[in-house]
Amino acid sequence: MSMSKICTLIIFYFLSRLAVAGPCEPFSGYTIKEQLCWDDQLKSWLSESCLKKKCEARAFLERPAPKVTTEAPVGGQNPATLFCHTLKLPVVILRDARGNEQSFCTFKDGSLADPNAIERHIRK
Amino acid sequence: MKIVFVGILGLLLARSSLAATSGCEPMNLLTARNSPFARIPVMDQDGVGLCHAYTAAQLMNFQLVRAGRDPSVHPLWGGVKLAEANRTATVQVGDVPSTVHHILRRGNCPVARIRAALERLVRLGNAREIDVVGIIDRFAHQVYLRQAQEYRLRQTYDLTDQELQRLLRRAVAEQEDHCESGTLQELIPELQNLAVLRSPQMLSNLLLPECQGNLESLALPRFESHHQVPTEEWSQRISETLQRTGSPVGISYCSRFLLEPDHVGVTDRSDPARPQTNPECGPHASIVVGQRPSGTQCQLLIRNSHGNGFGPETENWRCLCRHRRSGAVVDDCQKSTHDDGQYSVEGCWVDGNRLNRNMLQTNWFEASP
Repeated sequence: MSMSKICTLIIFYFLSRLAVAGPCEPFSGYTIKEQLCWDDQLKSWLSESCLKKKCEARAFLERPAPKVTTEAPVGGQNPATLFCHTLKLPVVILRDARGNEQSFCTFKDGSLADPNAIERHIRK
Repeated sequence: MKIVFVGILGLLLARSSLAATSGCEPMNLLTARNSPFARIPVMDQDGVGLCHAYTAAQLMNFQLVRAGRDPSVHPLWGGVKLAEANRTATVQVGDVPSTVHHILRRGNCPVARIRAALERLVRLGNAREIDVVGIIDRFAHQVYLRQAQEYRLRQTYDLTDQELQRLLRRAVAEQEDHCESGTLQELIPELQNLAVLRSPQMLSNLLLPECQGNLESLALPRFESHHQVPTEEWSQRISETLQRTGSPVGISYCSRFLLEPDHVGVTDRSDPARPQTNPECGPHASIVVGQRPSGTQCQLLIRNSHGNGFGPETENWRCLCRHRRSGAVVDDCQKSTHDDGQYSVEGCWVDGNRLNRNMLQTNWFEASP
């Protein structure tokens, strides 16, 4: 493979990553701030670190989903976050720039993903 | 002759359409000028069954902001106060009117105090907030599952001290697998002290140091609720209340219909005091914050407490979104066209007729005299 082809492939790879990376926004909790970015291909908020290196949140959404079912929601539980609980992924509630609350599932490496995306991935 | 017949038919249809949507003048408390909702964020109750407390907090905070005060009611406080009063073993059981009643009667612990109480544990464990919230979350969820199991077997929610301690140690051990730093074992004695028999007691003890001596009394308008209404009249009543009070209306309903719009949650109202529900009903409480005519019926704008993303319950409905950067409102947004990270979902329009078949109760603060 010629040098120019390799360069083209590298440029194409980075451009394709840029194409799926949506807006980034700071989310905050009681004591932490976490920058999350929208991945338009996975339709999920992911930790910003997932743009720069491999992370478990992205890996989970990219590989085939495990077969998981949840109990029926009780007392108005959020049906999407029940999937995080069933997968034993701690849920953290953060607030976006406008103060609205949003749950996120926490993976072992600390990366965060949107429970709605996890729920859709499992039901797919 | 044919033309006359079609004309009469058209007139009759138009009249019935008008009748169905009369009293459904467009109204939207989320986008109204100087709306208190500008200061009351969309909430997310996660896996905790505290919908009654989230609904009560939003209804009360709306009244407080309208009266020129800060939104000060935290859902956790309502859940704990109700559980204490009812001596229930879990905070995850309750209704909106009782929650409002107990906050008004026992005083309110301001939001900032409750946040400070949670933050204290973060500092004590020298851990990330995610880890401490994770432990409480895991612990509460395990307690909830065990209590549900216990109730199925013995019709009681009570767990022994030993059982609670076992669940707490398990929650800490599981969290440590995820934890990069911190000394989570340090939290066990503190959490054990809090976990005196019941999770409401644990939460109450957690909040006590911050809330004691800092309770505020809230003067709010009269609180009302209805639960005996004929099926076809629910949305009309909600509509009338919205217009009369200019305030949100709390609804208790079968949330299954958000996932399956044709779901009939209430199967028998022959005893109005005890309506029979479908096993898949999924009782839930939310607030209605707007209305608009749509074809021959009235649509109601529901603000849920499941975060502001496009979740499974928003997929069947058109929603009201806000652009994250500019704050511009986009009505009739849908998952298929707006799920791109640019918008937050602030409410969804549901059909009044479909909601009618799933309604259990309404509650609201009357307009001030």
